[in-house]
Amino acid sequence: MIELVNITKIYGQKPHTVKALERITLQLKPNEMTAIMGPSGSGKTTLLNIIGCLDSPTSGEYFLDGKNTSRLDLKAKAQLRNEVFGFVFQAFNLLADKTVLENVMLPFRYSRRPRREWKQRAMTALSQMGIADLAQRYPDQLSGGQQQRVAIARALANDPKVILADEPTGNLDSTTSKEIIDVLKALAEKQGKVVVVVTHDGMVASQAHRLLQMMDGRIIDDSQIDSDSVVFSHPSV
Amino acid sequence: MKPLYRTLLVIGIAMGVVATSLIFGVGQVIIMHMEERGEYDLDIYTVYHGSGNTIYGMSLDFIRQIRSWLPEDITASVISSDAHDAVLRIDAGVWDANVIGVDADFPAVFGMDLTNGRFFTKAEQENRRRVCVVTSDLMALFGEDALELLTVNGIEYEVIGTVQGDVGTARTPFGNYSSNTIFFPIEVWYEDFNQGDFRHRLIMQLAVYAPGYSKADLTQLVSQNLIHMEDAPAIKVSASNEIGYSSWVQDLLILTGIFFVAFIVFLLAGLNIIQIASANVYDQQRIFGLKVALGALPRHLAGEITGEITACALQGGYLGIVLAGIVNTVMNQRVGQYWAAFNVFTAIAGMLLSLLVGWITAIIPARQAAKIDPVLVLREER
Repeated sequence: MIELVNITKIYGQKPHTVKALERITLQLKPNEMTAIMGPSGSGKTTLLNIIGCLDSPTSGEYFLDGKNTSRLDLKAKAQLRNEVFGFVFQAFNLLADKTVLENVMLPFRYSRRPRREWKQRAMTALSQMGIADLAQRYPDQLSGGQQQRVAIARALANDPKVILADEPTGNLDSTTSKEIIDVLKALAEKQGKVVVVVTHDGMVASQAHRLLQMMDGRIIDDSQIDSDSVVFSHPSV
Repeated sequence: MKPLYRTLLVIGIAMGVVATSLIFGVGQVIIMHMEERGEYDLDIYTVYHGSGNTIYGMSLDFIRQIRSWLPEDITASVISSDAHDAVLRIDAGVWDANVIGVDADFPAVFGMDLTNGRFFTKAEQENRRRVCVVTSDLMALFGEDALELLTVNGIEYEVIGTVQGDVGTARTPFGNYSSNTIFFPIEVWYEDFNQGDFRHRLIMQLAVYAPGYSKADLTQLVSQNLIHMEDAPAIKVSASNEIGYSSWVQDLLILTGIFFVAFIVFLLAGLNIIQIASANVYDQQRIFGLKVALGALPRHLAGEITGEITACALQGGYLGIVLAGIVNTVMNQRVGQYWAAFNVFTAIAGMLLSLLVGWITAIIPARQAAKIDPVLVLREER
C-alpha cells in the first residue's frame, strides 16, 4: 500500500545542510501496526511527515497505492491528508473552544463530504472510541486519556486507510498509554488500517507488529515483533 | 479566535466606527463652516457699544444721534434686541418668536431680497403703523392665510412681506436674525413691547452698509463726534467679517482638533486591528498547522481568518454606531453646533469604512496563516 524508495530529506541550504533522512526504502502494509523508534534527531517524525504528505522528500519516490505522490500538487496532497491519512499527536491538539463533537467534525470542513453526514460520522467515530457520551464536553473537561481518544476519533472521522501517530502516549501515564496503544492496534488488526506509531517508549513499541529502529536518518533495523519480545526504550535526549 | 482577541478586535473596530463617524461628520461641519466664512460682506459694518466681549445696549435716541454723524450715502438700520416676553398667537396656537425692531432700510443694508410682499416704508415707520415682516421659513410653516395677521401680546399686526429665511450669523454678527424672526418698525417695537421709552438701552447695533468707506473712516466719523460728548460711551466699529471672526476661528479650531483626534483614533484602531489579528495568527500557529494536517488549504485558512475578522467588524460596527451616537449627544450638549457629527450617512459611512478596513487588515494575517509550515509548528511541541 505504501512504498518509499530511496527517500532522502535534506533541510537547509548549502553549506549548512542537515540530512534528516538518507535513502529510506520501506513498505507499509494494512493490518499492521509499525512502531518507529530511535533517539531524538534520528528522523522519525520527518519520516512520519513524509508518509503523511505533510512534508516532501528532497529525493526518492513515494508510492501510495501504486501512485507516485511526488507529482501531486498542493491541493491533491491536502485531499490525501484529509481522506487517506489520520494524524494523532502527542499534545492532542484539540481546539479548546470547541466541543468534543465539533473537534471530531473538524476534518469535514476541508472535505467534500455533505454537511448532513458530519454529525453522524463523528458520533460513529466517538462510539468506536467509547466516548460518545462525552460529545458535548469541552477538552478541558476531559482526562488526558479521554482527550487522546477524541484525537484518535478525529483521525478516524473520515475513515482513513492510514493512521499516523507521533508520540501518542507521550503525555499519558502507563495505564492510559496501554489503553491507547490497544486502540491503535485494534484499528490495524480489526479494521485493516496501516498504523504507524513514532515512540520513545519500549512498552509501546513492544505492542506493535513491526519495529523500525532509526539512527542518523537511516533505518538500522526492521524486524517483526512476537508477543514475547521486550523492547528497550531509547533515551529521549 | 481567542475571546480576548475577539473582544479587543470588536473594541478596535468600534473605535474605528466612532472615529470615522466623527471624521465624516466633523468634516461636513468644517466644510459648512468654511462656506459660511465666504458669506461675509466686506462693506457691512456694525457700530455698537462694547467692551471686550461684552455688548452694551444703546438707546434709540442715542443711536439716532450716531446715525446723524454718518453721511447720507451710507445706508443704516438699527437692530434691537429680542423682545423676550412677546407671545405670538397664530390661529389657536401660541408660539415663541424672535421679535426685533429695525429700520425701513434693514433689507437694503444686508442686500436681502423680499420673497413676497414688501418691507415697511419710512413713512409707515414714522406713522407707527402696526405692520411686520416675517421670514419665508415662518411663512412656509404656517401658510399665507394664517399669516395675514399676527397677534403678539394681544395686538394685531398686518404681515406685509416675507424675507428670506435664516442667513446665518455671518451677515448679522450678533446672531439676532433666525428663521423665526419677525421684523417690526423700531418705534412700534418700542411702544408695544417696551413701554415706548426710547431712552431704554435696547439697541444692539447700528448695521451700516458703507461701500467705499473703510473701518478707519467710519471709526473716525464716529469718534470725532464722540469726543465732544461728556461721558461718551465706548463705541466701536467692526467689519461684519471681524465681529464673528474670533468665534469662527475658535469653532474652526475645535472642529479641526476633533477631526485630528478622530483621525489619530482611526489610525490607532487600524493598527490595533492588524496587530491583534497578527497576534491571533501567531498564537494559533499550531491550530493552523493542525488544520493543514487535516487537509486545509491556504485558502481555507485565509477564508477562516477573514470571516472571523469580518464577524468582529460587524459586531464592532454595531457597538461603534451606538458609541458614536453617545459621543454625538455629549458633543451637542457640551459644545453645540455639531449636529452633523452623527447622522445616518456618517453611521453608514463609518460602518462601511470600518468593514473595509477590517477586510483589508485581514489580508496580512490571512497571508501569514497561509504561509504556515505545518511541519515546523507541529514540531514545536517537543
